[in-house]
Amino acid sequence: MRGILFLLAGILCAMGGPASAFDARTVAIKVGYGAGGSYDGAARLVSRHIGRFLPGNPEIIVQNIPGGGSMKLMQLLLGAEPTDGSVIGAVGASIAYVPTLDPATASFDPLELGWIGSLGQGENMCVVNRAANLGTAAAFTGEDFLIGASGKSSLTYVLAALARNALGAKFRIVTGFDGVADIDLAMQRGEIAGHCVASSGDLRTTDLGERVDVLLRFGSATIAGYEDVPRLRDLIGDAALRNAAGVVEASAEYDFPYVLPAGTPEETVEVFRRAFDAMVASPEFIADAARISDIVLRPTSGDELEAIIEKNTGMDAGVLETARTLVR
Amino acid sequence: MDIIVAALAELGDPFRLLMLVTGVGVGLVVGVVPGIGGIFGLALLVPLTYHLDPYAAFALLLGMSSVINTSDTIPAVLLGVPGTVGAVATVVDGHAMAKQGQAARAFGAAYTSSMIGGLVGALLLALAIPVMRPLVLYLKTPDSFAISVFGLSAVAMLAGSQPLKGLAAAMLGLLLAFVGIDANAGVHRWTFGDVHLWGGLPIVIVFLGLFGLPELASLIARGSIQGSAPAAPSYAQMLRGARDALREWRLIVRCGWLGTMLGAIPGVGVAAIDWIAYGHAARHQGTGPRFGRGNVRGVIAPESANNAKEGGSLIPTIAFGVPGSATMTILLGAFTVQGLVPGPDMLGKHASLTVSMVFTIAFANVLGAGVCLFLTRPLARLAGVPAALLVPMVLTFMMVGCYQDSMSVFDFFLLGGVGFLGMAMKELNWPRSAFSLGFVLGPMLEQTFFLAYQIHGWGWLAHPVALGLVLLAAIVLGRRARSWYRTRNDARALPAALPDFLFAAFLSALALAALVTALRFPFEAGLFPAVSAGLLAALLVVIAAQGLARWRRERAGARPAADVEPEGEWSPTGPAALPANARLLAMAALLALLLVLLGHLAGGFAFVAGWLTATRAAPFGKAMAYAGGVTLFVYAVFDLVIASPWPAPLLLRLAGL
Repeated sequence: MRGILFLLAGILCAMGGPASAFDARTVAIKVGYGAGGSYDGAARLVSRHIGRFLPGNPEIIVQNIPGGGSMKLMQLLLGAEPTDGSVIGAVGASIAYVPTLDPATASFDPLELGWIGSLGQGENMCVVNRAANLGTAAAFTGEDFLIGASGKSSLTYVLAALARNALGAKFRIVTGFDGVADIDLAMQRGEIAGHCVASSGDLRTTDLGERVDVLLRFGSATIAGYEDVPRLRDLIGDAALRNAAGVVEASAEYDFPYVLPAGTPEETVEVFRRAFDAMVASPEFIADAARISDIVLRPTSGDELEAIIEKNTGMDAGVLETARTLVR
Repeated sequence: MDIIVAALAELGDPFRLLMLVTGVGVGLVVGVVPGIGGIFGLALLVPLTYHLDPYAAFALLLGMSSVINTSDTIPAVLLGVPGTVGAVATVVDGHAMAKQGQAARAFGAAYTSSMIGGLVGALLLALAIPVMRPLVLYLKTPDSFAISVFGLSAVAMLAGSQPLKGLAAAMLGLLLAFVGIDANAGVHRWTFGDVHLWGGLPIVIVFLGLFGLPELASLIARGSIQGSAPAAPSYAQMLRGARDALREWRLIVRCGWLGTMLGAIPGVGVAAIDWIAYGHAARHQGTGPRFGRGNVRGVIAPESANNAKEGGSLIPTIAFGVPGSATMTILLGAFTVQGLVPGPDMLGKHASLTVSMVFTIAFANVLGAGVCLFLTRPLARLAGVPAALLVPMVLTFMMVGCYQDSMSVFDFFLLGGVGFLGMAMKELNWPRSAFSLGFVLGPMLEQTFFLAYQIHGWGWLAHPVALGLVLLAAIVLGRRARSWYRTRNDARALPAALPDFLFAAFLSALALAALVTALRFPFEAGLFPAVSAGLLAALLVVIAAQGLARWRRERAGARPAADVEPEGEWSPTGPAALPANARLLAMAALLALLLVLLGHLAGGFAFVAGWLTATRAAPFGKAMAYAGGVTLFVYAVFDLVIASPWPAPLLLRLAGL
């Protein structure tokens, strides 16, 4: 009899007691892209470690929800996923800026999500074939040549358009390539001159560095080894234009972000932020990242991500309107 | 030579061989289950390679992906349900052979050609190693466009006995390929605000709907796969198939070449290669029956090409890190895991690894074909199993596979819609092969055209390779058109006039709506949809007018031509078609409802057990056993092996649990 009472009491406690900030046994990392891509690889890397830093050491599984450049997953995260920490999302880097820069595609408030942190930092530079003889700033803005890009909503296009529009350059952007590797192949064939999404890692580890001139870099962070390359913002005279360009650059400032669904309690978000911070600082994680992925680890904490997004999406309407025209 | 010996020695390590065999085993299973394919298999295996050395890792991965197109032939031939998108072309003649009681012969021919085709692909990859970089650099964007135009010209061979319908089917395929956000301007084309359509119509579901559902319906009508055709499967039949393949060795080598070369061109997927090879073979009938009526060449050509493509698609992957196919995108992830950078190093420092990949592909093809040959006799016995028993089980596998794609009810509606289209096309002599070719080549045609145009203007026509291929395509089409014109008055079997007219009228309305909306898209997003919708509408007006005129003549007392057999791939089910198709669609709807309400395990179990019992296809105990078997298999593939994010059953959600 007493046993039964204890059992009932236990059940009552379990049902009515104050829920702890996080007690899930399994956490699913849902990836907004198909299996095998870089976002999927990064999520599988995280899945091997984050469990150790969460209360109760839950099992972590990875699931792919591809569609619309992670927009499909975003829609789920905004209303259809559990908010108890049993699901986290790996979404595209610039998805928080879609409502700002491309309002026709989606409207939502990115700050409703719980930003856990991001693994990488955007490192993007414009490069052109050395053989094209465009190695000077004057040639880059004054000559008519071709820069390769994927679709018009991709980073490859957004950054190239930003450079062209902000600097009044004359180059044309060829759209429709499948990805950066495809663009690079067309460069090697001599069909186009360059692209605007080269990272220092690409330049160092592949033969890209031997073939191209680096002409321009985006963002505010310094890129080791490429400090002398002119920054876009330093080349823009007009302050309003520079602010607008800054909003566009911010959409590429961090990469591989992780988020909790909208409506997740503050305390749960906090648990994940601390776990993420501890994970990216742990030597095992860093060693594993170097071994099985090609991500350059440059983590940004969740609090910082939130602040960056808040600042840039909250700019005054005129600046945001200019930003929209810069990426057309 | 040293490199070859070194590569063989590395691969000869017992553990690495074990990995190769494991990969082949997984690949054969993945190939057999409709709805999942190479991408699924690789996504499954790549995480397992974290702790393997590069030789073992690529033995596992390439072992798997090399044999998928060997075993996907099994459901394609037996059931008309392609195991993967790479087996769709095999359905046309392979399944026709099974219906005539020649399943074992079709298998013998298919596996033999798969094996030889795979070996040709491996050999060409080996030969290409020293020259692959200059080779890939030589082909420019306009050449890729010309290749897709040339590929599309194979429609001329697939157009069937009513060529206008063949051309219209190809245009319809093209048109549906343009659904989704376009890759250039980011414009939404016919997505109706639904995120499921953003990435376009999922190819797996389109092919399962187009071929799988109609063939299962006709299986219901026939009673069993081979119907009343006699003959138990025998080794003699299998040997006959193998001999057929060896006799056609020249075709195998040509299609092996074709598969490898096309595989090396990024954007040409296995589904397209399959049909281009089929179209190539269809130019000469050989000694067999007409194409579409069980001609063994129609099995040999796609089967040799789809296995050869694996070697080809490795070429740009290894040499430039540009994936030659969708599965290679995932293989690239494995390069990263191993710390390898595709490019010159793979042909220098890591050359022995590259050579070991050649051997892996070769071994895997021999092994995969061997295992399949061994399994042929028991499998071919399925041809005699009553449809009442077989169809519910196969339908369950197929629909769970579909549901797995995006875990949404939308998949079922799409499958049903395309299924209806497929059924009408099958009965009314609209060649589904021509539709397929348009559907798989559409995106590449559009993408490469705009790339070539943006880069070279109209100057791309001055590229010799591009110009040559476009001219060749024009000649192929021109010659076929001449022969169509000459035989235009020949007596031929035609579908019933009224449904023929109604279907054409329905499609006309669709085409006109598409044309009107496409004209509102911006130029670069609207050009291809508008042109294909316009051509489709024009063709349909003629087809509908012909149908209407024929219906009026028949009402006035004219008799349709008697004693003329249907031609080509047109094999209507006849008067039984309507009830059988309706029955299958009802089954599919019921199963979809159960899967959503009860989940993929309980729903599948309830459907198979309930249907078999209710229709008295099996006594209660046996029905339970069959349902249990199906459920166990689904559980093993979709829950144990890979953690699929199955949505909670609707009933549980409604109950608030």
